[in-house]
Amino acid sequence: MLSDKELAEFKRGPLQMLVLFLLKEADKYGYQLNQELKRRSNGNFVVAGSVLYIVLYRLEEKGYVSKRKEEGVKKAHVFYHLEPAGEAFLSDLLDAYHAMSAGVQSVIGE
Amino acid sequence: MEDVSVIEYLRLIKLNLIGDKHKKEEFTASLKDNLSNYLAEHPQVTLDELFTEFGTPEEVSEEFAAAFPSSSLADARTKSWAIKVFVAAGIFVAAVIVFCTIYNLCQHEDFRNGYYVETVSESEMASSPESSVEYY
Repeated sequence: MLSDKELAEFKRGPLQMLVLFLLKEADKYGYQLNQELKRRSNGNFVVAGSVLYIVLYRLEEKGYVSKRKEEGVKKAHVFYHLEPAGEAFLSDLLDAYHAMSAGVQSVIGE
Repeated sequence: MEDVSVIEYLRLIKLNLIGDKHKKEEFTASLKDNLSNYLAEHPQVTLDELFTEFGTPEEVSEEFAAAFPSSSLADARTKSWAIKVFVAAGIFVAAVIVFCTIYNLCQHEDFRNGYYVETVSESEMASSPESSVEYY
């Protein structure tokens, strides 16, 4: 069985692709992203919040996402928005993922 | 008002992060905003719950280093080298100043004793014998 660290390293690859994919649907705040990731993966893709925020910070640094503050009922929320450059990057990531996934399937034969 | 657990969590994160100072500050500022969002929905959060939900300081530090590897290592190496050069230069300058001070003091010590000792070579004595001895 993989250790937490090994699992975290394995998840690092697809994480930014999944984050960009979820942001393509709608702007979301960090915690909301994490919860949606957990829910839609049926609990199979769970990451620590800070890991997600590191990915979001990196994507923001590259100009793929931007953030804005919105005043909510209880407190201001920081929403992340997918930029056009991020959308193009997501498209490339998805192409690479499909190609790699097909390659992996043909190797392991499942 | 920020929760005590959130303040402590951020303090531990900042303590463990290694890397570019500017990136660390930006990341922790961003994390603080997101923690505030979480706190709004979970007002009585404990430090252990934050470790579970957001990761321990060590996990965050590892992920941060993995996300920004070259800058953290390069920064650490550059800083280490710069500090060594600065310290070595400082020691050298201090040694020169101390040596000059001691030498100067020795010279003045001789004057106070009423004499000044000058070593003259034989060739100099031969060329100008009248200047070989001076009286004070």
